[in-house]
Amino acid sequence: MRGRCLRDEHGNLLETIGVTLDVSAQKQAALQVQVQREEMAHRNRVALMGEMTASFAHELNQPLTAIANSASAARRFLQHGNIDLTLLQQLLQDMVADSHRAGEVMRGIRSLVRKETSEHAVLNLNSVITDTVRLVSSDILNRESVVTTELDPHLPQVQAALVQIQQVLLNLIVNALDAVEQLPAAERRIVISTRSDKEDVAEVMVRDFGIGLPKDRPEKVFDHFFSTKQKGMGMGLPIVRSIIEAHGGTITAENAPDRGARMVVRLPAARGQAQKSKAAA
Amino acid sequence: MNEASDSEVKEVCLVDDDPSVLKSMHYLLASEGFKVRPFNKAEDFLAHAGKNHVPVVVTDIWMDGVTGLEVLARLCAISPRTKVIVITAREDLAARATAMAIGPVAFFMKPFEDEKFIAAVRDALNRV
Repeated sequence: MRGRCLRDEHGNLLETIGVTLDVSAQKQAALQVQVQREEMAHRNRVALMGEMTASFAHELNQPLTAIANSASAARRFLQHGNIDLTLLQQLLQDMVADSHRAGEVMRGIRSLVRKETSEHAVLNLNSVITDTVRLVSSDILNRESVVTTELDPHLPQVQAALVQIQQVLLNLIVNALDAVEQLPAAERRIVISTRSDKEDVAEVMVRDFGIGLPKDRPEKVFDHFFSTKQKGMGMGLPIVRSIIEAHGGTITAENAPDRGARMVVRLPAARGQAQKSKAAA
Repeated sequence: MNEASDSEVKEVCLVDDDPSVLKSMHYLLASEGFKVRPFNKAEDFLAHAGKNHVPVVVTDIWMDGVTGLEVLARLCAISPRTKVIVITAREDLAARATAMAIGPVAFFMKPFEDEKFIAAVRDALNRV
């Protein structure tokens, strides 16, 4: 609503003119777009979970195995009457630690499939990358690929939604794994690096040594429904870009000079983090 | 006291890159009186097997660096009489088929039944 008052030379009110615009339709449309975007992002996360089921099962089976073995060992020591209390305490402590580890895996899975993901926090991207690579390490091994990380210790922290950033990384890692799939096992390499050449920007690069991006226009990979994969929906990278842009960042796709693709994500440093990064350097 | 038999004084090697699983398997076998030598890197185990007699090894499949399948393949050359028990935390029919073709004496999915696992280790030692 906008308006103004007309007054005479003594300041007395003569008349009021006003305009009222109904913007509810625009607001409603914007809200609908937002809901659709979140719905698509959620579907993408669920699809990623499907692709990574083997990794999640592996991550959960390891602590469960350790718990079962420790409990069985304690029972057997007790049955044989040759357990000392220190050893029993150690076995119980191990079981508690492994239960927490299994709980962490479950919490990670739950947060990825949750619809509501917009909770922002100050994040260390190096830690998020390490955790995400660990989460999918079983799939990486199964595909006989190697993912190495080159992380800048002075990377500024960013203000972001953890699950959404994990979603970005998972998409980029899965794409990179797919890109190197046809290569001989010894050449299936992916490098994830971070750097902060500008103090107010945290940069993450996922680089593969696969077949590369469309030569005429690498940015085509961000178009909806564009995919080079047989079973690809062409939705992963558009969602990745929308997430990064919603965080005030950018993502670019380019072919590396020798071979393979480079996906470069740039996110603004959280307020106050750029200076800290500079001081640390 | 647990029943000690001839088989139980022979050494069982364990190979798993997950420290929790390795430690818990060590305790499980120790609770039955087995002598255990744990390795968290397949490379270290292979170096050991190249210089020492290894009657039985329990190895994981999916490990960083050298995998359990490579351990199986290399053991054929450096210690063909070693009995191998394979354990894995993931369903993988191809890996299972490859492992079985190389010839382990037993194959377990994690988490496994302690009774069957211990029986397999005891059986493997008795076959040496």
